[in-house]
Amino acid sequence: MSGDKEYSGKADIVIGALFLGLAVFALVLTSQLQEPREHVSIRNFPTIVSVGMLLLSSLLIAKGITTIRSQPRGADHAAEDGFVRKPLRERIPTVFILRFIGFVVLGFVYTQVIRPVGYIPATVVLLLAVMGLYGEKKWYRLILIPVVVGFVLFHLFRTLFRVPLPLGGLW
Amino acid sequence: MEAFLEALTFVVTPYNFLLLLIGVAGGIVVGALPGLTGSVGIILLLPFMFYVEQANALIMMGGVFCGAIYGGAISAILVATPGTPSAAATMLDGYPLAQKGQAGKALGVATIASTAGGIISMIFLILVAPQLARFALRFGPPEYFALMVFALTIIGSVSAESLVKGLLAGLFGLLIATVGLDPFMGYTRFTFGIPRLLTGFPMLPVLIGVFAISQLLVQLENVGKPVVVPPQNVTNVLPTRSELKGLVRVVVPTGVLGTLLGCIPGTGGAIASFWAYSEVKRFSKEPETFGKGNIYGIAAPEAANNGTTGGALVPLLTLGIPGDVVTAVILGALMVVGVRPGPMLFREQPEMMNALFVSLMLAQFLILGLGLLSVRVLPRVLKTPPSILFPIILGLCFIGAFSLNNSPYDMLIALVFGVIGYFLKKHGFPPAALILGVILGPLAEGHLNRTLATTHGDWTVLFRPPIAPVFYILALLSIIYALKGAAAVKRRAGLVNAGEEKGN
Repeated sequence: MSGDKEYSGKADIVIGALFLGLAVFALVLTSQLQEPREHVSIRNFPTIVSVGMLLLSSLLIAKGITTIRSQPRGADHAAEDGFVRKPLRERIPTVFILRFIGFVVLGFVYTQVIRPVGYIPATVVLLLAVMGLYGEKKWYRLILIPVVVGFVLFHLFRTLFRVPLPLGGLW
Repeated sequence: MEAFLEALTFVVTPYNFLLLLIGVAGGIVVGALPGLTGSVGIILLLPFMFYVEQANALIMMGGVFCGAIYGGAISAILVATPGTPSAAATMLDGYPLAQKGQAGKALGVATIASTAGGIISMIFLILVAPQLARFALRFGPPEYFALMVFALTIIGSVSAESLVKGLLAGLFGLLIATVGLDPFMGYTRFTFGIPRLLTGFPMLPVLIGVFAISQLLVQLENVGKPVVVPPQNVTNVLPTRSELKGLVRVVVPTGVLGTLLGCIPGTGGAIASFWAYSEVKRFSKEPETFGKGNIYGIAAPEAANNGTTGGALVPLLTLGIPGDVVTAVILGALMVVGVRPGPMLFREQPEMMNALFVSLMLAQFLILGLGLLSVRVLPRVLKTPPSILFPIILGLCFIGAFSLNNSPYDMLIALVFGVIGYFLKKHGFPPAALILGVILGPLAEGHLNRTLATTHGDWTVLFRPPIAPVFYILALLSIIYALKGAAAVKRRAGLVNAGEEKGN
């Protein structure tokens, strides 16, 4: 377990540093805000929040350092029980990283092309690709479900709820 | 009484009854599917709520809430995977009973106990909520600010792993909520000259991202893992007459226990169900049969966790403070459809509140009916392949985000917050804390500034007795409770690790 603890300690330091940076950034921006009126300040609340974040992120970094220091040297690779710990690359499988990136990229592209391409074609392609990411291999499902879901959602929201879903240049 | 009859007439109109039925059925399905929770169910329902009246939206939301809490028991019993955290205790005896070939009886007992617990809690809600709302009318901005501080300490209770991380996530949520126009004077903050940021980050896409899309990303990790197949034959659903008598003795006290615990912000169904389970086991004449398929071990947690539904709605509807994750999402959802929970709601829209109470009560009977009738269908629902289910949910998430302003920008917000939510989850930061910050931040700031404006900047008014100090004391107690809870979790984890090492 010591390898996991070291990983968690490092993660705490990295995330703590990110939050610390965010807190400092917010404090600087807050100090530049214009004060509109006496007694009531638009700086009060963001200042309280940023200072709180500053303190807690420092605490998280300190916790991360303590966690790492409490581990014996080389614990990440060979613990006392003789088991060789998995390096980070094996802990997070590459296939998952690829799926994750694929999901995010597909989502991003979808939000960019939905207006020019139209709701139905964009959604059918998105669903087909995401089904593939979730491991679907049966071809009839890969074709049938995105088409049916795309059409049903389109007509449900456009016809019944009158949401102006983009028609795109194809229609 | 006349008002309730009027509300009943309104709820049983075919359209409203259909909405309630859809809500309960949808809630049961979402609650039953492992990986999805009541929160996700309510979020997925939100796009549909834009197109109905507020009262209709409340009816539907109430149905989903109650249905999802019950639905969690189904997967706990059939595949030993609780659909919701509050169904974890149900699994202890539900799954062993299903393994003995009595899955039907386990589901039947869970359905009856859930209904009983739900009815008890709704009676409590109907009796107590209007009284508390009347009392809360005395609150001014300082009291409301103190109440918001107390509500924010609930973050501690959702931070099982680390209080520091929970508070950081909460502060992150509060910071996100400060982007855009400030809620009191309308001055811009942190917009970087981007016009879209003037209105801040819209709550619906943030909710969709943090709860639903992040969960879809989590589920990507399970691709390729084998899915547990539920049993095929589910028969003999109803318990015998003698078993029913015993059930009454169990569900009434545990339903009351769940209701009372549900009222306390920061407790929730999981605590109530485990507490009820241990109490029933302690008072049982056959404690050794618990964990091996004892029907009372199913009934107690189910009555308790469904009891929390009405209890949790008391502080939510009367004071506008959520007691747990699901009610925090409900609060956000209510605000999205334009309903601001709080005492004024009871004064200004009593008809809508009565309609909600009646529909919540009817939802319990629908759970009984749908639960008992659908026991043969439900195992098939659990067989839905993730490769079909999750892409469809993604489609719903995107269309939900789009329908807020008819803009792909909101879809992008949902996607970004989905990724943020995923990383928060993976590193032990509770996403619920972030949402609590996003929802309560503008309210807390509004009350703070209102207080300071009316008192010419006198901060001491924030501690005006007698009500405000009570909330600060409760906030302090809540933090101490959370710290003690975290210490207990660490102790238990240490014991488990020590045990494992000894075993090795």
